[in-house]
Amino acid sequence: MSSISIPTEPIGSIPRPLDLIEAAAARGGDDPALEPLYEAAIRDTIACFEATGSPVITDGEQRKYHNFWTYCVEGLPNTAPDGFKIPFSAGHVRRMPRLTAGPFRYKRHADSYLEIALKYAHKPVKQAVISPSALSLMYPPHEIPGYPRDQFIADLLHEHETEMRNCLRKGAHCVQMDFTEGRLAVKIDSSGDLLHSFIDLNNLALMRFSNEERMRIGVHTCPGSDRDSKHSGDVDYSALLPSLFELLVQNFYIALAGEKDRTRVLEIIAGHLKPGHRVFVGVIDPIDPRVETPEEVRDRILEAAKFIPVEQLGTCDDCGFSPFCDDTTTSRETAFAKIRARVDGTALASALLGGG
Amino acid sequence: MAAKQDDDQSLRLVALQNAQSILAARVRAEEALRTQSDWLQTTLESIGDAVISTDAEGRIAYLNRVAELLTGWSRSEAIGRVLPEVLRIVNEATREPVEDLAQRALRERVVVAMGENILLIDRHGVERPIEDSAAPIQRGADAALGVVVVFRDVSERRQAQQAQAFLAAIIESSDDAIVSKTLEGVIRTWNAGAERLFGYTAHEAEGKPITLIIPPDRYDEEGEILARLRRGERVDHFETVRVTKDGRHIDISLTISPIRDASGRIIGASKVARDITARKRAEEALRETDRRKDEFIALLAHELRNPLAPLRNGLQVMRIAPDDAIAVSQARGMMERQLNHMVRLIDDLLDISRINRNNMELRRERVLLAEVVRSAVETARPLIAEAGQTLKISLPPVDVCLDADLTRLAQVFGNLLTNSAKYTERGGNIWLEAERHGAEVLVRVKDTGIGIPAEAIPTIFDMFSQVGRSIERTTGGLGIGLALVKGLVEMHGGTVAVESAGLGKGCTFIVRLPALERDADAAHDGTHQVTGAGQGTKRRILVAEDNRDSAISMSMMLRLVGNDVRTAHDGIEAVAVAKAFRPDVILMDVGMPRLNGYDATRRIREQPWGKGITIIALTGWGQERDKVRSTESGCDGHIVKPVDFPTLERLLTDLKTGKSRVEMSRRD
Repeated sequence: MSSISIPTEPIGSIPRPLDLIEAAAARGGDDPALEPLYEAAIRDTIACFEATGSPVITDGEQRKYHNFWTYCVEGLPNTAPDGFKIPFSAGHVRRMPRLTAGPFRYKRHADSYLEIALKYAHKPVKQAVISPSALSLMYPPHEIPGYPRDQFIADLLHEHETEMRNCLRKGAHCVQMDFTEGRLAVKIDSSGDLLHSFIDLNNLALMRFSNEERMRIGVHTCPGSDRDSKHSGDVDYSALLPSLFELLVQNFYIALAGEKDRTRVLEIIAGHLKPGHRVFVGVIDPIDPRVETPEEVRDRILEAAKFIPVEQLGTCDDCGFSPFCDDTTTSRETAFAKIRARVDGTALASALLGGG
Repeated sequence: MAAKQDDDQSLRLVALQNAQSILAARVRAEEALRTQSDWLQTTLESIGDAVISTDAEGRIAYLNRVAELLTGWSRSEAIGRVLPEVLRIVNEATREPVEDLAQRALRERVVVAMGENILLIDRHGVERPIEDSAAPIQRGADAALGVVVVFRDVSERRQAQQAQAFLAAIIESSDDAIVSKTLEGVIRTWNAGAERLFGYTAHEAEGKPITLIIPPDRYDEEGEILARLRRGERVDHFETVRVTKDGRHIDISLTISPIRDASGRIIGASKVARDITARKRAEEALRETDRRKDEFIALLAHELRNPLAPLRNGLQVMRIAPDDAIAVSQARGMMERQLNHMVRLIDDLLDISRINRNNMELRRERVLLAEVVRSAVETARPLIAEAGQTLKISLPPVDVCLDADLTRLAQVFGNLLTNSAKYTERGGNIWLEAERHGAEVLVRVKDTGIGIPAEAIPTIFDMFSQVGRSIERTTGGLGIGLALVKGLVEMHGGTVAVESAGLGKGCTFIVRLPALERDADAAHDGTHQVTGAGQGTKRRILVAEDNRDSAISMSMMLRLVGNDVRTAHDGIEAVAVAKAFRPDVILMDVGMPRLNGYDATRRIREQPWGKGITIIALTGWGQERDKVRSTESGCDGHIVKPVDFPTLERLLTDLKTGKSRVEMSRRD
């Protein structure tokens, strides 16, 4: 696989081992008794990941409890479970915690996961963190007495910067900001005001980093993926992508495999892509239970290459395979098989495209 | 469905409320960014150095105000141009353009500097020495985004460095010791002059207390000097004594000035020390000479006055008892001695003066040493005889010939013999021994006298050196005889030295003179024929002399030996008397009123009756130019006053015997 020259990266999550899911459900994710299970899950995930030939791996977010969105605030004493709801097409709802009092602080930072992963990894490790815009929705509609919204935003930005900077400092190959709520914002507010507000907030965080640091930062957008369903699959990318490319990052991870009209999406990407950007297009659909073939992946890449200069092209999965820890709809084996297909397909495309 | 709409509404509400705070945060962030940018811009504009930044291709993206001034390019004109077009730098020595710093910094991705001796040529051709450096503008390990060049005009610093180097060279090459010290008296700097003067190297002296070179008995001086310096006062030409590394005490003159820092605070002192030992010695020598001169003048007055009393007494005797032949004879003898003594004193004075002024002229001829010695002994014999001393003379078996002025050389040995006679006890011995050594003759004058202390030997031949000797006051004389000896010997190409075993052990003067090869044909006959005055030869003589006493005494003597004599007391009268008297000889004083002797001579020579008259000039001046002048006026002879009568008689005889030209000095 050394011939791969089109970069390819995972998005993040890999389904947790069932014993871990059950133990966490029974004891809570923070129970120290779960430590051996977490360690075993991470070690196995990294080994399997590396076995796929993926040049960049993750820890499969084995320790993100409960999910990619709230892992950093889960269990905070100044929160209530009755935050806003995220309805998925499958009919279920995920509910976020609500901030009840200030100050806002993360309970845990993703760099703590990175540290463990780096102990076992032999390949570059990517770390995903949640965006400030996603967490901004924790503040309730009415102002918290003694803790103004402005202060909350300032604290949020500080916490996010701390987490991001620590990941970079500790050696993450790259740090991916999960921005799944971007597409959700379009769905909720078709005026675009909400999306622009999210872009602004995330840029306030990103502008705290140097250009060099930003070259190791990316942003991921997708219509959500939980229990083989999406929260905003029906939102047109045309309402999101132009704003997405305003984010102050170099790398964009855009779900594409699951899109109905990939050509149209690619046209939109090509129309808004800026010099220096690299777009990692999704070539694997985690919701699709079928494992893509490398050729299938190859063809998706070749298709994308018609719109995106190959030197600005990369590949990824559309989304994590298990953003919510209790999602068991996809097996670990399937996830790794899909990943292998992405890696092999990217290699095939790379060979055909002459290595970019 | 309604619940979902409520949820969406609630979420929208939260998001939009957040948006207000996000907007406020964005405004604040942008304001902070703008402030930071403005601050950076203002900072770049405010710094004293010139700053130019370029893009990755080396094209100028920014230059600050100082860069505009130094390059002569405005920002709007410069932006977009390649750096070397605006920043023209050449090597000061070769005048070749130096390497483009920006390209090198971009290529090597390190900070580079051009070093020294580079010139910036601005847009108008004005050149300035600069110092510069260029650094790549870089983010991490990626390619440089551009380069930032910082440079500054170092003209003033260069000038200051040159001035400082110049000053340092002056200080280092100064013969004076230049030292700086702190107000606590600790030596800070020490130049080569200080090393030479005090013997300590800079390494040995710097950091040490200044008392290193101050004698302990002068430590108080340093305290006073430091106190004055702290008050900001300067100490000028302070003469004191310092001690060298080898313990010598030296006289120095100090000029000490306070050293101030940039704020005007006095932080130390500079000290310039000059060795004045030689000057002090010279001053002391001058004072000593001055003292001797004062003593000499006092002595001279005394010595000149001494003969006056006997002379006056002699005259009294002649006036009171003119018929007492014995008394008059004794008085005349006494007066002659006193007069001769006085003449000798004055002659010595005049001679030493001539030697010192380099006005003495020698009439060199081939003479025999024996003749010189004989003449000298004649001079000294009366004094030696009077003291009952014994003079033993030993000359080489073969006569030694000298190229010498017989009179002057005789004066040398006469003085030495007289000197021995004076300082040798009654009945003592004096030797004059001469021997030839190759091309020179060595003459020793030895005595058994009082000797010379060792410390007096080095100055024994100096003027006035004997004045201080107590015995001198008892023996008479001015103490210039030995100085005269030395001067005359050296004029003859010889040397004179003295040896003495100490007081009471006599002394020996050794004169070395160059000797001639013996030439029998040229051998001197060894005699000076001094004939009598020609008693009975009657001449008509006119004595023209404004000093009436001199004229009268001279005419009296000339009449006594049978001449017909007239006198005149000025030039006009001399011409008139000559016309009437038609003398054979005129003794013509040169310095007379109304008409001087030269002019009177000319007028007489113009007359038919005056051409055959023998005219002899009488003058106090015996230099060559005086003789020439008298010859030119028509004189036949030239006699330096005072004229002793035997000399005059001999002269008149010579004239009679046909010697056409006569020049006589006092001792002839």
